[in-house]
This record gives sequence, structure tokens and C-alpha cells, in this order.
Amino acid sequence: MHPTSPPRSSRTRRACRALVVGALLLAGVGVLTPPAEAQTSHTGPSINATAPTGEQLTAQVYDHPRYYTAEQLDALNEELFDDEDVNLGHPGKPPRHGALGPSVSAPDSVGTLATTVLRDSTIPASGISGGSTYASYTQEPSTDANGANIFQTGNWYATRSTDGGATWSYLDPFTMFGSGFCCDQVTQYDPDTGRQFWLLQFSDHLVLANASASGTGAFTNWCYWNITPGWFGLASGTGLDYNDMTIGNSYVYVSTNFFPSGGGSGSALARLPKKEMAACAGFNYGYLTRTDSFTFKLVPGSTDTLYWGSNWGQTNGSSFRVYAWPESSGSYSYWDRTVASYTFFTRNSGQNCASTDGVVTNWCQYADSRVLGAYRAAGVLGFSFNAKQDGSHPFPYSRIVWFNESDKSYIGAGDVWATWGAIQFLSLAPNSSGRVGGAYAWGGGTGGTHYYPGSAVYSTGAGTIENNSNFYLWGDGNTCTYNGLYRWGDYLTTRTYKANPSTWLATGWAIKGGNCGSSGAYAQPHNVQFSG
Amino acid sequence: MTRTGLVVTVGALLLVAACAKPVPGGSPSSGPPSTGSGVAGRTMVDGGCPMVRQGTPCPDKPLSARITVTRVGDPAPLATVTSDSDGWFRIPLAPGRYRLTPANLTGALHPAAGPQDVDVQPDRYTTVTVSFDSGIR
Repeated sequence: MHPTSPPRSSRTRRACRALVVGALLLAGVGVLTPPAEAQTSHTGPSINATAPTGEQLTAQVYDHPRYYTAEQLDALNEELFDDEDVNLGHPGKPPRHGALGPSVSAPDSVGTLATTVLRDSTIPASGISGGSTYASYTQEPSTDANGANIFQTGNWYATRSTDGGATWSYLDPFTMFGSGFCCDQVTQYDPDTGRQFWLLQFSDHLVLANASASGTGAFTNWCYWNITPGWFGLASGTGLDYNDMTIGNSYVYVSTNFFPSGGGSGSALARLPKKEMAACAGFNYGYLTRTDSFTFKLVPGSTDTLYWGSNWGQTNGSSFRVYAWPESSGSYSYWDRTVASYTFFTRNSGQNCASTDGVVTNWCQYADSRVLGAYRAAGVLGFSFNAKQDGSHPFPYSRIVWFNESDKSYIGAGDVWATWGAIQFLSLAPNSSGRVGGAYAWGGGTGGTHYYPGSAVYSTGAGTIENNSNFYLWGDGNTCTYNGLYRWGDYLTTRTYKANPSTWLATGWAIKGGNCGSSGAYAQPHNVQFSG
Repeated sequence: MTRTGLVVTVGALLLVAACAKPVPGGSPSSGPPSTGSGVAGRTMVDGGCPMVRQGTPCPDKPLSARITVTRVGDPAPLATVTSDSDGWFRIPLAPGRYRLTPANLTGALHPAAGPQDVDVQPDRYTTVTVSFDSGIR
């Protein structure tokens, strides 16, 4: 008990009195029925601020793993796995592509286009800082490319290729921008400026860097800013976490969730001028924060207006908020829309991605229903997120909701789902033909069939669901636990491939060589180009 | 009075009964009350660690939170309690199946926790841990 607190019995009596009075007042008026949702738009101002010139550095690039002694490796492995309980399970049948067949069912139109993997680059342990011990089972991978110059980030590495994914050499995010690097990296290439933008999360701030993406020295000469909570008008000590980035005509947009030290949460967004950043100059920027939305998913394909959305904060499971911020304006608007209901889930709240016999463990146990993917294509704004299994979906699946870009009216929803396993973490991006590419994680199994978590790419029309999945990467083992819960994700990335914008780039990974934590197991990252 | 109002009134009276009954202090480590039945436990939130590389321990922390009790399948609230600063709570309840709906005290979107169903047996306190998610990934 706190020394200045009144006696427990006194506090209890007062609390009870307040509760009873409140309940009786409520009884007097009956339970209020909320009014019908008003589907009108709302506006809010953004705030202007100034940032200094960026810091510059030249990155060391490595083409072989960092060297450790046997003792150091033992220590690192002990650190890496000391809070992970590994369920080794039993080996499943070797997965066969044919076993999947039409299992990804679509509730509406089924197209004839096939999703084709044009390139599948495996990133070897030598391309990751620290080697295989630095490949997390929760990869959070991101990528983009300028032609054959490809940059990929993940937990806990950054790696580059200047030969179209044939070879990879790493950059060390733990040392490049100071200490405190954590995770949640996002990267995107901007053809207008020729710069690769790179967002990283540190213990008490974010770093936003950019470098030339051209030539053999691509991704080496970085200019960067430390983005503290103060950049969003937030108090020092406020936690920033789970970031997104997209690039419009004139601005780089960065979003993050924030957690004040005193509790609560919200989401923040900054609009940063890309030309000034590319020149490593100082600049003015705009930002906004909201505490009634959680996780801003920025829409790839935004040009002169940034679109973003959130499904967390109004009526979780049946509402969606679409935001828009014209680049020419100092204020933004949002629309709250009712969408087809689905079972929204939070961490460890009954979602089950395990195989029915439990051999493949519940790899989505740590996940939730925050928005994970988005696109703008053919006049449609689409957003994807995880949904929980229900009477119509035997496994957790990915829901996509669609809105008209013109008036943000709700068009409908579709599901990427399967009878044989779970489909989660669907990321999306448009191509130049108005189609939509995606990447997702899949796994589960029924009867004697076992699908350890793997990665797939997907393509469809805007505002439709087509049965066009390519299961290019199969897992060999189960994931690890994090604080006692099985974890995968926390996101994937799909990008329009600027050198051939009818195609896409995507990230994926699977655990190869056995169950996570077992000797020889490696969370193997992939970088793919695909069409569809 | 509306039917809903009547239900809430009954709930309030049940609350009076629950509050009038002495609720022993101390932590569950000292054991639930020796008589009666109900639910006892602790509200916790994760340590708020993103996907950190080092194996730094990130233990859960106690969180004072509100718990609303309903019967499974019936949304009418039977009782609402607030766990103490160390997260401990005890709710006297008759034997039956109940749903605990947790909420943080600030009204913010996080920390968040989903509903949890519990069975209460005669002359026993069912022990539960209500886990809140900080939202940090």
C-alpha cells in the first residue's frame, strides 16, 4: 500500500459508494443507446515545425559475417534464446505445393492471372550483420530497389545488393547511427530524388536516413536525422514504436505509434519534404497526433494526397477510419465508415494458427488485428488486416476493406482465407496497371498435413479477391516464443518495383533447418520480384 | 423504469452486496478468502518491449485496471471492480460461469485486454491473471 493512501477499507467503501451511485444513476436513465454512426467527414489541422540539417556518414559495408569467437557466439546465442521457450514438436510431412491447390478460397470473382515469381533471392547468413544469430524469427522485413540495387532491412540487419539480388553485403544498424538500435525498420526508394529512405527505431527515438541508390556505392553515404518524440510535439520519454513510411509527390511521410510514460497510446504522423531531406538540408515539416486511432497505415500509391487508415479506435471489428491529407493543404480530413463485421483480435485472445493436431504451433499468438497493408489503385483505397477464425473461416485470415477514393464511401470487403491454414500479415502495393500485389505469411494444416509458417506472394484486381497465390517459400520448423507466446511478423512489405512498375518486390522469410532455436535453424530472409 | 434500467439497478444492488462483504486485503500469495466463492487474481501488462535483439528480460508489470463482470451470454453487468496499484483484485461471486471484461483506467486505446471467461466453483476462489497488451511491437 502507498504510505499516503487512506486505509484499504476506507478506500474500498468510497470506491463502492461511487460505483453504486454511478450504477443507480445509470439505472435511472437506462443504458444510453449510441446514436447511429454519422458518416460525415471531419477535419483537423496539422502543426508546422522546423528540423535542422541532417548528419552525414559513410557506412561500412561487409560481405562476410562479423567474426565472433566460439565463446562470444555461445554468449550471443544464450542471450538470444534465454527468454524463448521452444516447442520442438514433431516433423511434419514434406509440404507439397500440390496439396494447397485451390485451398485459398475467394468469396467472389476468381481470376485467371497467375502470380509469377520472377526472382527469388535468398539472403544468406553472410549478408546479415552478425550472421545467422542475428536473423530473428520475427523479421519485420522491408525492402525497395533502384533497378538491380536492392536494399532490405529486418531484424536485426540491413543488407544491400548491387547485382540484382545475386550477392548481399550487410550494413550494421547497431553501430551506424549511434547506440540503442532496436527494430521496426522500414525502407523505400524514391525515384524522384534517386534516394533510398530508411527508417529505424531506437530505444528513445527514430532515425530517418537517406542515401543515393545509384551505382556501386549505393546505400552507403547516408544523411540522417534523429526523430525524437518532440518532433511530434510529444514529451521526452514518450515511447515511439511500430513505424510506417510512404513517399508522395513532395513529401516523405512517417507514422509511428506513441506511448506516453504515464500510460495510454496514440498514433503520430509527420510530413517531411523529400527534396530538402535528399540534400541533407534543414526544413520545415508538418505533423499531427491522434489518441483515437492506433496504428496509422500509410497508403502506397499516394501522390498529391496522402491517404492512411486505421481500424483500431472506433468500433473495433466493424468500423474503419480513412484519412486524407492533400499535399497542398495544412489540414487533413477523416471519414468513419462501417464495414462488414469480422472478429477483431488482440494478442493471445484465442486466435489459432496452429495445425489442427498442434504439430505446427500457434504462430499468430502474438499478433493482433492492426492494419498491415494498403494500396491506392484504380480509384480504390484498400486496407488489409488480420482477422480471427470464426464459423466461416476455420483459421485466422486476412480481411481487405475497400473504399472509393473520390468520396471515401465503403465499397465492400473480401477475405484471403483458406480451409487448410492461416493467412496473416498481408501487405499490399499497387502496380502501374492498377492491379494489386501482396505478400503474406501462411501456415497451419489439418489432419496429417503440416505447414510450418512460410511466405507467399499474391496478386489481384483493385477491389476484388482473386485466387492468385504463389507459395514460393516453405518453412521447415516452428517459430519461437517471446515472453511465452509464439510470435511471427510483425509485418511484411510489398513495393511497386520502380524499374518495372508492372511488377512488385516483396519480402518474406521462413525458418529453415528445423524448429526455431534448434541447432542449425535459420530464419532465412528472401527478397522476391513478382508479377501478376 | 426501462428493463435495462431495472437490470442495472439489480446489478447495482448486487454490487452493494458485494461491496458490503469484507474483501480481505493482501496478495493472492496469502491465498484467497477461506470462505465463499468468486474470482481472485491480478491485472498485468507486458513490459512494453519491441523486438529487441538482446535477451534483456522484459517481465510483465502490474497494472491497476477495471474489471466488469457479467454472466456469459448476458451483457448485464453484475459487478465492476478496480484492481489495486499492484494489480490485485478479488470479486465475490456465486458459483457459475462469468465473463471478465477488463479495461484500463485512462480510457486510452492501450493497454488493452480482451474478455476472459471463468468458472467459479462452490466455496472456492478461481485464480486468474488478466493480461493487458501494451500495444508495443
